[in-house]
Amino acid sequence: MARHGPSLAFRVVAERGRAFSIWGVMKISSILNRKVQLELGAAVLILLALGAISYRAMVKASEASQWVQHTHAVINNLQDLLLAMESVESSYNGYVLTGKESYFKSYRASISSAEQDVASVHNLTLDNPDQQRLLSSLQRVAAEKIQFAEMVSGVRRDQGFAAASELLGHDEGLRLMNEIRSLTAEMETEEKSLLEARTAQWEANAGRARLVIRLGWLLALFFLVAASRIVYRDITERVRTEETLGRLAAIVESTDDAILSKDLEGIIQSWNAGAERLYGYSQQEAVGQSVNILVPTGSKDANLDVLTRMASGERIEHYETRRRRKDGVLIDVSLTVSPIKDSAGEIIGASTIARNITEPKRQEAEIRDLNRDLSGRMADLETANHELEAFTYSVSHDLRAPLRHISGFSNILREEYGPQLDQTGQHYLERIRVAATKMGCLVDDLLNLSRLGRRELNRQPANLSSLVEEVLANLRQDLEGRKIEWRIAQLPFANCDAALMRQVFENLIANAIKFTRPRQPAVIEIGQKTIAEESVFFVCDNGVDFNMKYTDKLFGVFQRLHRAEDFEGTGVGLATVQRIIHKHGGRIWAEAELDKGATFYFTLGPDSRVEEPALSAALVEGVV
Amino acid sequence: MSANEVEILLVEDSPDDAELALHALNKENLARRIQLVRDGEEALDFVFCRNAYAGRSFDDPPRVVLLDLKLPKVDGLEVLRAMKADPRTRTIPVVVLTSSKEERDLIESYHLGANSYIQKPVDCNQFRETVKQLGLYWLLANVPLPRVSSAKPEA
Repeated sequence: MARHGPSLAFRVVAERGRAFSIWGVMKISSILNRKVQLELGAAVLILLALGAISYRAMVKASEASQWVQHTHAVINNLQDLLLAMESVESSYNGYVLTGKESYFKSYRASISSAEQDVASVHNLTLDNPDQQRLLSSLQRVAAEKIQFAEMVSGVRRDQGFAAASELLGHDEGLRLMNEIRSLTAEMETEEKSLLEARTAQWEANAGRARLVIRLGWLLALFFLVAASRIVYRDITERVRTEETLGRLAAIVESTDDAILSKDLEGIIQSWNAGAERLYGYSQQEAVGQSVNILVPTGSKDANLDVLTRMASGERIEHYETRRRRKDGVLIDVSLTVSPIKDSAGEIIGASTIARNITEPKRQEAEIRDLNRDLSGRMADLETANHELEAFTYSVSHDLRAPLRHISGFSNILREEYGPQLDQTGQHYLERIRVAATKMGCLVDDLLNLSRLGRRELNRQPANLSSLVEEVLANLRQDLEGRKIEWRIAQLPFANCDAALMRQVFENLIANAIKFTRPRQPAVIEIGQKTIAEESVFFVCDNGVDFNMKYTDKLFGVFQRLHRAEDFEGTGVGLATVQRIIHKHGGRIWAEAELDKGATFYFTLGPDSRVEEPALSAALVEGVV
Repeated sequence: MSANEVEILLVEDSPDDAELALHALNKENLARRIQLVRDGEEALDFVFCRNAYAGRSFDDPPRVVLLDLKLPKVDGLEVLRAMKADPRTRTIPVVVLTSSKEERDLIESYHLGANSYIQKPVDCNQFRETVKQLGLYWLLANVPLPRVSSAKPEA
């Protein structure tokens, strides 16, 4: 059965009585049956023939035994006849000798017995003309003998002993008696030879019958063995197939996938539990229906098209489509359609394995939607960024112009009309100019900060010590008249945007210089230490501390922790520093101690680390 | 003042900026040869000698154009593009004088052929100084292209 493998799965359901089209199985069992039937039929015929032969042999044997009995009866009767005749002889001889009537009576009785015996033999040998002929000769001689005895008896009675004894002396009686004996013996011999011939023939027949019966038994046995072997093999295979089918059927039944088969017209032939679960139709409802009950309106042609294509031998690739459940709900399924072939290899239908992919599809769609959403938000964000850019542009342009005008005209006023103003007037004029200048600085700082957000980092290995030196050189102007004790450690190289890092050091150092103004001497320390395997830079001063309560406000835009009269500033510097550090992937924080000053710490993130080899290479190439 | 004698074309929509610039130039006695236009369209009319300036000749170009970028109607970059695209006006020096600090304006201006790019300083003293330097440089130090009309014999 294994050689009909391709249609196994189909038969699985067929044998479970779920479908009507059981071509494969029918064919196989009929082929098997014919062979077994032939063999069993032959065996039965042979046995019947053997029975007939046996019966015939038995009949023959019984016939033969009848013949034996018959022969014995003939021989017995012949011997009786002979005895009777001898009794006739002796009794009339006795009568002659004694003349006693008792001998004569005995003589009569013997004659009557002899006659009876002759009649018996006659009856027994009716079918044998030879014996009949011999018997009639015997009858004739016996009659002669009796006639002679009658004559002798009559002589004895009438003429006495002497006359009778003389008759006896002629030996006529003896001659007749011998003739009777001889005839009887001949008949006996004849009968015996007949018996022998019959026995021989019967034995020959019986021998043949025995041979035929033996051969017949052997043949019948052979056919029976052959048939039973086929039946046994068939049963074994059936059992094995049943097991295989059972296993396959269990797989088909227990899988979550819907497995169904249909004929070439699209009529459902089998329907597993998965199909019941997936489509909502029970097996009873589905089998016999067209598969179109599963197809949403409008796509029926596609389904039949697949069947047609498959019937023409085309291999159907796994595909995804939409199906309608019994309750009308549409589901997405992934389909694998494969042909079902009969034992002759003809495509007679198709099996379909369907998997519910509604959920994955939905998730896919959800992801797609989310992505679309995200792109939408990205676009929004980009728009917002553009708007922000436009805003900063207009701030840069529109806000600066009036500032310039205020300071410009107040300047002209001061220069050309100054003498006409008193001291207070000139003071107010000066306040206007200073305010305008300050606002200009604010606008510039803000623009710098916003530009930072848009700028891409340009990382290169940079010598941070050199950066600090450059910054200090630039700040020289601010240091006039100040006494500051610098403690500057050797700083490592870092893979960073040098221009931005210069800004960081500039802002932090300027900050330190500004807030140490009241100190004599001011101490500013710039260094680096390793905390938890991370390189941490710091700028420490002994200047005016700040309240740690407000440490989170320190880096906010326009956030100032000191009064403007005490320490000038726009409140943008630390916000800028923070933004640069964050862009590098680092962190920044500050600590303050009452009357001891403040320390700003920052890290530059893992991407900023410069390995020794890279650093050497950079040094050789003169990058840093 | 005849339009033909104009040495500086100041394209500036802000009356305040214009007045400050004129004041600064005035101090150096350069103001009498300045033409002020208030938008891009008027600037184009002037340099291409059309409409209100139809009487002008391409033979008497201004020695320098001080061009603001943010202008009504036609903006400064458009004016610059039109001037540098036309062979008759291409040789006129254009100094972009703007309050924009935007890098893209700077790059775009140079790509269009601006001869200089000056950011208007916020500080009024610096502004006055810058305008003064501009006037002196372009009117006194810079040697202009020889006038075509004077090179040609008059009919």
